[in-house]
Amino acid sequence: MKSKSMLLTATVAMAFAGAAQAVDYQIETVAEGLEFPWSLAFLPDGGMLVTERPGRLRHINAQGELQDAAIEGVPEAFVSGQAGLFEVALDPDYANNKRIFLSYACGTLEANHTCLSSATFSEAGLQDVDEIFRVQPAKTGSAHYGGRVAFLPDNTLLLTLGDGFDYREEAQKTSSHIGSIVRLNRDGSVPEDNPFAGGGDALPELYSIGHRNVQAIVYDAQNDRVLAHEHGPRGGDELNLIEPGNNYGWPKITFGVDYNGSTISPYTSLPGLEQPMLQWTPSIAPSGMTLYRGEQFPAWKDSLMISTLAARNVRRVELDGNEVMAQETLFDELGSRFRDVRTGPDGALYLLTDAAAGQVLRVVPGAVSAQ
Amino acid sequence: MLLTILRVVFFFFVSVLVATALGTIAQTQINLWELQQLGVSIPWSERLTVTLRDLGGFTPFFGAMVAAAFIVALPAAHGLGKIFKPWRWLLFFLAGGVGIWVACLVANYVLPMPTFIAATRETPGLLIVAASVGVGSWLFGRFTRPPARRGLRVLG
Repeated sequence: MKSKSMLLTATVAMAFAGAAQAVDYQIETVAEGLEFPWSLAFLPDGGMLVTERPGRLRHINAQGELQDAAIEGVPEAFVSGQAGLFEVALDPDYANNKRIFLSYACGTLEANHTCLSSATFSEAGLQDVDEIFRVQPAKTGSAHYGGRVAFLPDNTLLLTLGDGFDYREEAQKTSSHIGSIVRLNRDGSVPEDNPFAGGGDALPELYSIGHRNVQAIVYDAQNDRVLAHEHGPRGGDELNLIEPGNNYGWPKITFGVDYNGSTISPYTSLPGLEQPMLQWTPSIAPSGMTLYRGEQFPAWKDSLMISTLAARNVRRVELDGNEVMAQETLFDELGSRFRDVRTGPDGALYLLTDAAAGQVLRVVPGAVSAQ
Repeated sequence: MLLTILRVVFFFFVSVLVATALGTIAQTQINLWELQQLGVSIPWSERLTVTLRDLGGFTPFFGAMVAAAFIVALPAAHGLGKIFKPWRWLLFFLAGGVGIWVACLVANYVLPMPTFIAATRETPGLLIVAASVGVGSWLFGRFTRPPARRGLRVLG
């Protein structure tokens, strides 16, 4: 794929555990003029699919050319505020079935949901579009939808959700999907071994509860674990180790306060509620996340790369097991709000900038500099 | 004349202060009540700590909203009070309540979050906060009420 332009070359100095390393990188523009790009998926032929929050799915072909026309057949999204088209994710068996998954806000301002559909992709358009999940109950307003997808090795998927902002207490209720992470089979049916599938009033799709607005989720195959981050209010953004049946506490516990300065909860911990692996106060507004296992940046290997909106950078988080060892700030020099970060099949790091004229950026190694 | 203006300004600030404090205390109790409905225990010591914290953290925003509401609402109540004299106290009370309700609507419209003050998400909470602010505006009406006429009224 040919890059359109080279933006800059930079050197990042790291100081972890007393050892200083320098990572040289350069940032290339893959595509630009995308309206609030939200999610990026890599096609096997070297192309990419990019969602735009106003409801369009765009195709960048294997030659790196953004196609003018949006992909036809995308389910109609409810577009308002934070609502719109969110995630695009390829079925792990895409090579055989050409299926993709799209998450989006659906409904109206008065009654809307986070929805998940699957469809068969071709450049001519989507076919066999099937809505496989819809959050219940409906909510009003256009905030906090979650919308990220991760695939588990047992052929199920996890879909992250939000609390709808005005519905924070729903996050503690097992009779509601609001403020949870749900686990589904890829056809939308409910796996029998879901933690809340035992009957009673609990919704069987629930995988974990007590979330505010889960903005990214990653399955780490090497360590068989799920990691997710979510927005806190003013302060209290969290990185969590997600395990089935757990309650992550929102709004009973939080490290943040409301935007108006009032207390949401006096507690940061309570029995039976999970603590985050890491919390950010003041907020950084984490957006996407990738567990970098590419070959192009050996110094970043096994790090979580977390894109941020408010902090306008990417946080590299170094883990030792489930313990956070260090953090590093990257790409501050761009001054951009970042909506997503991905590891490409080429081992490069890909970024989406959150703007009316957003970009797809590729980070590749630059010239080696002297230490 | 100057003394009258200073007196009114002083009463205005006292009323804003009282309304802000009462509204803040009310919204804190509503938020804690919501947590209690989720099974969270709130001992009195914790309630006091949170209330005092909110009197520091929430009042800058809320006080500005109350002041903005009162600048419009109190003159309106004063004008209507001249027409509907027996209801003057009620008009001042309602003016503050309606004023903060409108201020909340404006904040929700202008700011990115759907509801700026969580305690006002539902009608009972909104009414409690509005009534708390109404006490402040009622107090202003009480401070500034015209002196009662005394003596015999002579016809003709």
